[in-house]
Amino acid sequence: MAKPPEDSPSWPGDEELEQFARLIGVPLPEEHRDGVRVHLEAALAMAKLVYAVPLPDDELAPAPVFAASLEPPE
Amino acid sequence: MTQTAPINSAARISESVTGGQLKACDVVARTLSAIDQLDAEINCFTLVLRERAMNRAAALDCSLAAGASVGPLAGVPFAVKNLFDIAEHSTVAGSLINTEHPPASEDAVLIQRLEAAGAILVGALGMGEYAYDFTGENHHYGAVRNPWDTSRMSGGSSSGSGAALAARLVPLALGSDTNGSIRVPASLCGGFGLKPTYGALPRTGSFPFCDSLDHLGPMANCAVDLALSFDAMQGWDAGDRACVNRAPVATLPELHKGIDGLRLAVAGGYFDCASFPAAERAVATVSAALGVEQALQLEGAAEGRAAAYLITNAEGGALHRERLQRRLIDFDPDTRDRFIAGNLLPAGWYQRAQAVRARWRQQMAEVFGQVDIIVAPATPCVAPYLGAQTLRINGKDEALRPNLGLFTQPFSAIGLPVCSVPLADPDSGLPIGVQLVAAPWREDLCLRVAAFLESSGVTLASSPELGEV
Repeated sequence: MAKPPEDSPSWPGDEELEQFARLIGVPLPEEHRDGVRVHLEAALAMAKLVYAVPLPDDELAPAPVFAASLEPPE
Repeated sequence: MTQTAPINSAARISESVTGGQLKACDVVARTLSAIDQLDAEINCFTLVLRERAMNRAAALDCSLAAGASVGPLAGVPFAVKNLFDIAEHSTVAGSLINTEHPPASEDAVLIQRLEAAGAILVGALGMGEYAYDFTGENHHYGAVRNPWDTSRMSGGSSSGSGAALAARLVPLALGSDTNGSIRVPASLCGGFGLKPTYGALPRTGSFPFCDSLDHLGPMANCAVDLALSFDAMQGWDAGDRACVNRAPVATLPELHKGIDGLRLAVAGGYFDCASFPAAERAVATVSAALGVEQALQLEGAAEGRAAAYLITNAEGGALHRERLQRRLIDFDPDTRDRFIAGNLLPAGWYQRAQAVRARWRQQMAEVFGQVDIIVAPATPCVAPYLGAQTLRINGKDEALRPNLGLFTQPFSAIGLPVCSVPLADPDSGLPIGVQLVAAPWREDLCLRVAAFLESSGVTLASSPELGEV
């Protein structure tokens, strides 16, 4: 069973978060930082829930299935 | 409230137009007149297609006069959430940014299919920006107001669809549902909504939100109209890779079969409504009418909902990354910060969420080995007042916006078909919905139970008092 991300109970500080946003290529102006943080904390709470689910560690997670052909399946 | 059956049901209009008692031109003219008189108060239409609708109605009347068959939705006016493509108009999706998009070259496939069945598109309806909304509020276009009380939310993100039906401006509307955006406004505005199985209806020609979770579906004032329109829209289309190539199964012939032989249960555990008295009353009323005795815990629902939250945030954020870079200040403040946050989520969270979603699907597949229909609340409360920010849950104030979808999100997370039926809450006098959930591809069962509740007099049978039309 995978551990929930307990070691990182919160998002990093403003400076680190800004660096991360630059890496991703999304704007994070100072005036929106608190608003974004509210949603990041909400997402972290959801992440803790999904990591608390016992899943086997020897199976591929079901990703969206990629089809090599553009033709529809029969 | 006026105690009336839905006088403008699609089925009745079609029957009257086909039978010659009504002209499609008169139906459409009356619809346009009602929109003119009432929409300023409700704010649900963002585009009215006068000329197109009248021309189509005239053509339909000519076809009927010539003895042609025009389809099961003959002369039925309908409107669509403004994320559906409408030829010659930009697909706005509740945003300011998309108003600069070039006009669509053709109608969305579902519009084409409804019109092929005789229905007549009269306009586009307001929605929360880019469908990331449960309230019906919109920074750019103002809130779509609830016809039952215009100081209250209509629910979102198919807010215009829910409100236009409640105001009896149209008998049929299309919406989209990623986490509850058909069922939440249906609940708060007192309509019937069908979120079909994921992949049942093609999304071709609609503006996306979250590919893994986006569904399109009909909203109406009765179960028959949902069945009529769903049957007219079924069928595979190459334009949507998620659309499943599967033979359509007509639901309309099933509606009269009642509930005999169906295994019914009520959702407990995560869906317990002890904190939400209006929802608790509604579920109890439906359970009593159906004779439901079995309660199921539905283990995995909370985690399934969490998975949907993360998938939505990550996919939605990714979809809008370039727009955030170029047009940040042109976003609705209520969606902008969420889309930015979605871009920052670790990839592992998204992958884990997809795996948990698959596990929740497996858990529910086992449940559907024992039952045919699960009864669950649609929203935790009746329509909140516009501007409300919090919802009381277990004695604690929580953010209202995400929690309006508390009970809808787990089911759309795994693509189950759900029909939301409206009830009247005796305490507030406002509507509130109950979900009827079935196994994949069993829309027929959801609609059968909805029709039974309707014919038993359990569902809402009144409409809000608005100006005379």
